[in-house]
Amino acid sequence: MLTKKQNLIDLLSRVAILVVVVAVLAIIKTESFWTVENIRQVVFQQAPYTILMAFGMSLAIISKGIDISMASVMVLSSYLSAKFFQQGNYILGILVAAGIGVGFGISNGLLISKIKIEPYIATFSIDFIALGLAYVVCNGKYIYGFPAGFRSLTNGSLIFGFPNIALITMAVFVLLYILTRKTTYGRGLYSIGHNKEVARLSGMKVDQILLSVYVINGVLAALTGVLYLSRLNAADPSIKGSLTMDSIAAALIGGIPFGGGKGSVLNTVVGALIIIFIRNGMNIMNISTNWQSAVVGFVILFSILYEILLKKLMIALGKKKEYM
Amino acid sequence: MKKIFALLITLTFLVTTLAACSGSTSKDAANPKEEATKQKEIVVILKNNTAPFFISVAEGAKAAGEELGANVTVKTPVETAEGSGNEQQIQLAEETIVSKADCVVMCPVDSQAIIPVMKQLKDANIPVVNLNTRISDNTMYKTFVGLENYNQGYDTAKALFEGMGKKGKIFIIEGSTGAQTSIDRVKGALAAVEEYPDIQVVAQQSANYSRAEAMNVVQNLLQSYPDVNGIFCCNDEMALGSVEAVDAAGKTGSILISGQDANDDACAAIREGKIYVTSFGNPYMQGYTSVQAAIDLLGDKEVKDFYEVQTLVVDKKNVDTFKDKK
Repeated sequence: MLTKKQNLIDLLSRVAILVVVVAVLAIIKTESFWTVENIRQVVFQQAPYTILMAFGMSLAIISKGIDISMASVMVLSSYLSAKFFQQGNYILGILVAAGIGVGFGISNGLLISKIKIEPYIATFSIDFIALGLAYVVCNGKYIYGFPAGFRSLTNGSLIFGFPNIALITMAVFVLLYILTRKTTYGRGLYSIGHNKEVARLSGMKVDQILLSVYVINGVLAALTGVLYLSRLNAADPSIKGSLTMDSIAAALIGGIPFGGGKGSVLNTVVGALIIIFIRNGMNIMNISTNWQSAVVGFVILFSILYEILLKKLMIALGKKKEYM
Repeated sequence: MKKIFALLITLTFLVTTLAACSGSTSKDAANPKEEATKQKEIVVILKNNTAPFFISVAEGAKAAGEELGANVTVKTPVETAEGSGNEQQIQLAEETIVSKADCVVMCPVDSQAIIPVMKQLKDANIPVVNLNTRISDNTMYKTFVGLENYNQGYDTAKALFEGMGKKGKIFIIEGSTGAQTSIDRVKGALAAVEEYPDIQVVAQQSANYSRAEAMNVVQNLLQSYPDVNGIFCCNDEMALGSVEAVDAAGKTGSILISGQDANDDACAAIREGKIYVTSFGNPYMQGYTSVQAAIDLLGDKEVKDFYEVQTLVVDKKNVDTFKDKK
C-alpha cells in the first residue's frame, strides 16, 4: 500500500496535467474557453456523466478488474424507466432503473467472483446482452418529453450556482470516497487489487466484495441513465457514445492503473475533467469531432507511459513502495 | 456440483447472448408457408433495423410484399451506428447468392465498398434494385429508388435561410463521417449557402447523427459563437440535441434549427416552435416502392431508371398534414 505522501504526490502530478490542459486551452481560445459560462457548463453540466461512469470503472480497475458493460446497462435502465418518469411516477421509475442496474451488476459479480470468468470477458458479454435488449425494447421508438419537475433533476438548482446534477455527483463522490478510503470494506477492495489470494487467505470476503463492486457499478450506470433522460428530455440509445472509452481513459489518466490496488475517486475526478476539457476545447477550436477519439486514445497511451515514468522517478528518489 | 452449476449458468448466458444477437438479424418472411405457386424471393438489405427511419422502410417493403405477392425478407447488420455495418452487408449480400434470391434490394452503408459484392450478384444474374443511397457504380443496379439527399439538404437549408430572413450565421452539424447521406445533405446545404450571400457558415462539425453528442457539440460551439442565428442538422436526432443545447443556453426562439427525417419527436418540436423545419424522407414509401420496382423488374415490366420518392419540407404550416400526402 502506498503511503499518504506518495498518494498525494501522485494525485498532484495528475492535477498538474489537468492544469496544463486547461492553461493551454485558455491561452489558445481565451474569449470562448476561459469564460465563467464555459467552465461552469463543462464542469457542472457535461462532466458529471463521465465522472459517474468513471467512478464505477475506477472501482472495478482498483479491484484489478474492468467493467465494459456499464454504458449498455445505462442505456437499458434509462429506456425501461423512461415511461414511468414521463408519467410522473418517480418512485416506480427509480425502482425499475435501480433494479436493472442491480440485476446486471449481480450478473457481472457472480460471473466474476463465483464462476471465475475474467472481468473483461464477463462484462463484455453482459454489455452485448444489455445493449441488445435495449434495442429490442426500444424498437426505434424514442421516448420524448418529460415533465418539468423531472427535468429539474439536471437543470434545477437547489443551491444557488450549482445545478442539481453537480450536487448529485458531489454527493456520490463523498459517499464513494468514504466507502473506499475510510472503511474496512475499502481496505478489502485495495487488498484484492494487490493480491486476491493473499486477501482471501487473510480472511477477507473476497467474493462478496467483488460482487458488490459490480453491483455499485450497475447502480451508478442506472443513475447516469436516469440523469441523461432528464438532460436530453428523451430516451435515446446513442447516449452510449464513447462513455466506455472515456471512463477507462479518465481512470487511467487520473492515476488508477490497470495493475489495480491504487488510486481513489479523487483521481477519477481529475482524470474525467482532463478528458472532458480536451473534448470541449477541441469543439471550441472547431477541430473535427473525429479527431477527438484519436486524441483520447493518445491520452490513454500517454497515461500509461506517464505511470511508468512516475514509478522510475519515485524509485530514483529512494522511496520504497509496493507497486503492482 | 459447483462445476455443473457453473457450466449451466455459462450456457444460459451464451444462449441468451445468441438469442439477443439473432434477434437483430431478424429473418421475417412475409409468407413462411411453402406455396404451390412459387413466390418471388426478394431480399431487402438495409443499413440497420434500429433507426425509426429504417424500421419504416422495412414496414413499407414487407407491406408491398404482402399486397403485391412476393416473399420479402429484410436483413440488416447487427452493428447499429450509422456508417458501420459495411462488412456485414457484404456477407448478407453474398448469402443471397447462396440462397438463390430472385432479386436483391440494396441500401448500402458504403456506396463504394459494396461494389465488389454487387459485381458478384451481377455475375450470378441476380438483379439489384438500389434503394435510398446510390451505389457508386450505376452499372451495378437496374434501377434506383429513393430521394436525393442532396435535394433534401438543399430544400431544407433554403427553407431555413428564408426563415432567418436570408441573413445570419449558421452551424452545419454533420452526420457520421463517411455516411453518404450526410455528405450529400451537406453538399445540398452548401449549394444553398452559395445562393444566399448574407448567410455565413461559422462552424461545421460532426455529431455522428446522435442526439446526445449534438447537445454537447452545439453547447460547446455556442461558447465560441454565441451570436449564431441558425443550425442546420443532417438529421432530426441531432436537431433535437441542438434544441436542448439552445434551451440550456436560454436562446430558444432566437436560433432557428433544421433537421431531416420528420420523425415524431421532431414534429412535436416543430409544433412547439423549437425546431423550425425538417424534411420528410417518406421511408415507408421508399421501402414499398423498392419492392414494387423489384417485382416489376422480375415480371419483365417496363422499369424506370429512377423512381424518385417525393420528399417534403415540413414546417409548422404542414406538420399535421404532411403524412396524408402519399
